[in-house]
Amino acid sequence: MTTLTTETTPQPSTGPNSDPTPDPTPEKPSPTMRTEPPAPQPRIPSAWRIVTAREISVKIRDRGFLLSTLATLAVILGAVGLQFYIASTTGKITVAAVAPASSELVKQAESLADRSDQDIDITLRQESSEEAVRAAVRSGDVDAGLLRTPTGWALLGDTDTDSTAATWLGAAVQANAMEANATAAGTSMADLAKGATLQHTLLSPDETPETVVRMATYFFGFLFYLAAVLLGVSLATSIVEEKQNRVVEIIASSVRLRDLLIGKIVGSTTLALAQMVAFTAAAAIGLVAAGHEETFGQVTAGLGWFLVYYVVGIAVLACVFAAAGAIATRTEDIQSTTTPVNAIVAVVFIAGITASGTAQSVLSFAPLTSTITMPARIIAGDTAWWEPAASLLISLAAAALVVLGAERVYRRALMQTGRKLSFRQALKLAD
Amino acid sequence: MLELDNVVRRFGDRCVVDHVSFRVDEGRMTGFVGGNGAGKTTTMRMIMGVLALSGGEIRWNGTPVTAADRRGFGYMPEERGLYPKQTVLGQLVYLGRLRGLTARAAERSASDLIDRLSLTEKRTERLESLSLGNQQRVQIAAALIGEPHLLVLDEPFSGLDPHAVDSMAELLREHTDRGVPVLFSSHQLELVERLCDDLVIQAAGRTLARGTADSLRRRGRVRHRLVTGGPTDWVRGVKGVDVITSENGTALLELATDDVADRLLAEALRRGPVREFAEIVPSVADVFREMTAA
Repeated sequence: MTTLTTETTPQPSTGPNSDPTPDPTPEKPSPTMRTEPPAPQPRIPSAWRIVTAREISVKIRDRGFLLSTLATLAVILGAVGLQFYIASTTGKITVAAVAPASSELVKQAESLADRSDQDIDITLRQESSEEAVRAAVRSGDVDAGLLRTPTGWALLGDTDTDSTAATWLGAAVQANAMEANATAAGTSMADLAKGATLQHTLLSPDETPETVVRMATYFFGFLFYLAAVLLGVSLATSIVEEKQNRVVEIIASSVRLRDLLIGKIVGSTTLALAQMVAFTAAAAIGLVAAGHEETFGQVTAGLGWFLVYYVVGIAVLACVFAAAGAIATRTEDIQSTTTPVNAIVAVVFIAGITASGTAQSVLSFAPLTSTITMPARIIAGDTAWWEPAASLLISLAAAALVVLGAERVYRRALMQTGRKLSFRQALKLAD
Repeated sequence: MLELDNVVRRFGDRCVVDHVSFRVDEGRMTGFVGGNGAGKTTTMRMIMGVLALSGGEIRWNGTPVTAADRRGFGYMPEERGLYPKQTVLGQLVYLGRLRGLTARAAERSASDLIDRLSLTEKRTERLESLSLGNQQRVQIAAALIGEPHLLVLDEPFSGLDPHAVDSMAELLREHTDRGVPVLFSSHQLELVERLCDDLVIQAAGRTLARGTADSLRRRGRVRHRLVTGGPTDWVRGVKGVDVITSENGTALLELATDDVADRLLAEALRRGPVREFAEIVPSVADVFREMTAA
């Protein structure tokens, strides 16, 4: 039997709370007693960077992530290939005809198209009879048939009228008829067209054309939406990961939850941006290769501003998705907790690309919507110097607030393993 | 030394931990026992900072415990879980780094623990591919990484086979031998009695008793057994003796004070031979039942 080393007199087991004072156990005289200060503080990177590093290294080894990235790249490259195919076939048609005059008409149509910067190529197929022309059209061997009628020309199609043939052969027929009619009336086409030219003059030729602003707005609005799709569920899922596998208690006892959230936000956002760069690069290569350098150049004209707002906007969005993940307990909840966020993203996208005037000015200061509207206003040249700065500051402040809110929600929902919470319930809970 | 001073935790109107005070001393293995709903897990979560306190204070070496202190505490939560898709080594290094170790120190500590827990061959395997027993070992390693200054273990022995219990106990003993205070909860009272230096008994959120196992046992009713050569009916006449049973020369008695024992023994010897006169100390489990029944 060991010696009694603790309480000097055994207390009767009275009310358990009758003795709230600390235990009077005497110090054990131990030679191994440690009095050094706790927790070594060597020079280590801040906790969020460790979280970010893990997030990225785990994700890029994840088969699902790699496969979905490659699949999306394949879809983009496929779409580019389709562009090539369509570009190589449009404007190339074959027309069946009988009359010898039709070859003259086809040449005329091609030169008219050429003058309008349209590249078309009409191949004429001579047939022996009108019947043969009809048969060729019906069988689909040719895109259209051209027949002489008592009053002029007729264009044949099987189920559809070929639009290239209709436009340019139509223009040629019209030009021929007017030429003939002018001669018959004792005048000429040149006289008839006198004074019929409209002069184009731009008052601000140095400013970015509105069409370009609009195009860039659509482009970045779409990229923003795509980023939301790429980032949203993957970030929310990563936020819920620790709660799902219950390692969260160990993590929560080691680091501030804010560091965990920020680390995950930075990690997921970095990966999503890397995916975006890969996808847009593939699309850009496609545009250039398919001969749309001009579009590409127009869209990238205001790239600088758009990029700044884009990165900030994605950061705000990531924080909102993190909050959606913070409230979930298991991955099954993600679907429902991200639904409101996805709705917000859709509204932001639509409002961002359609807003104009005062509405656009107001939205250009609101977080998220400013991602699309403020750069559009900057490029259009109607902002004072302080406006972009103020808008960015508002966005960053909103991001910080959302992260702090998400941390609260996360902390409070931490031990609620049984059920999914609403945002309101989570904020009501104590830490 | 870890001290809990009138720690309170409420969930809404429900008081789950009600003015709990106890301490875990250097080099002592302290068992934290109590039935379901006693508030053990909640108390441990508050020690680890996972839950906030509604009242009271937790001190580490005399000053209120900080986040930096807690980074030096090893913790095994009641709900086990690590990263199933990450390798054994990878996640131990990660957890070590979150605890403030440098990359190299975390790597070294993780490798040591992996070898110590016979997981050397599994170090680069994903956690989910390991057997449950091995996953449990990784969980232990996660609590021990980085040479913690305090161990807080919630039901560390649950689900372990007897061999694993022994090696776990040995591992914990290594830590207390180095002066590390260890607090662990359990509802296996016999095990706690066998392993612990100190005990804290909790029920319905309140501390019922605390002290060494021996001092707690003595809080229960200590009885005496007297075996003599002749009949023992005479004991009923001795002042301060409460007879529980008495037959065939064997009597089970409860004595009012210690000096009654001397008088009783003297009387018995006067009457004839005494084969046995022994103190029967209840087990911790008996004391626990007695206390929680009250």
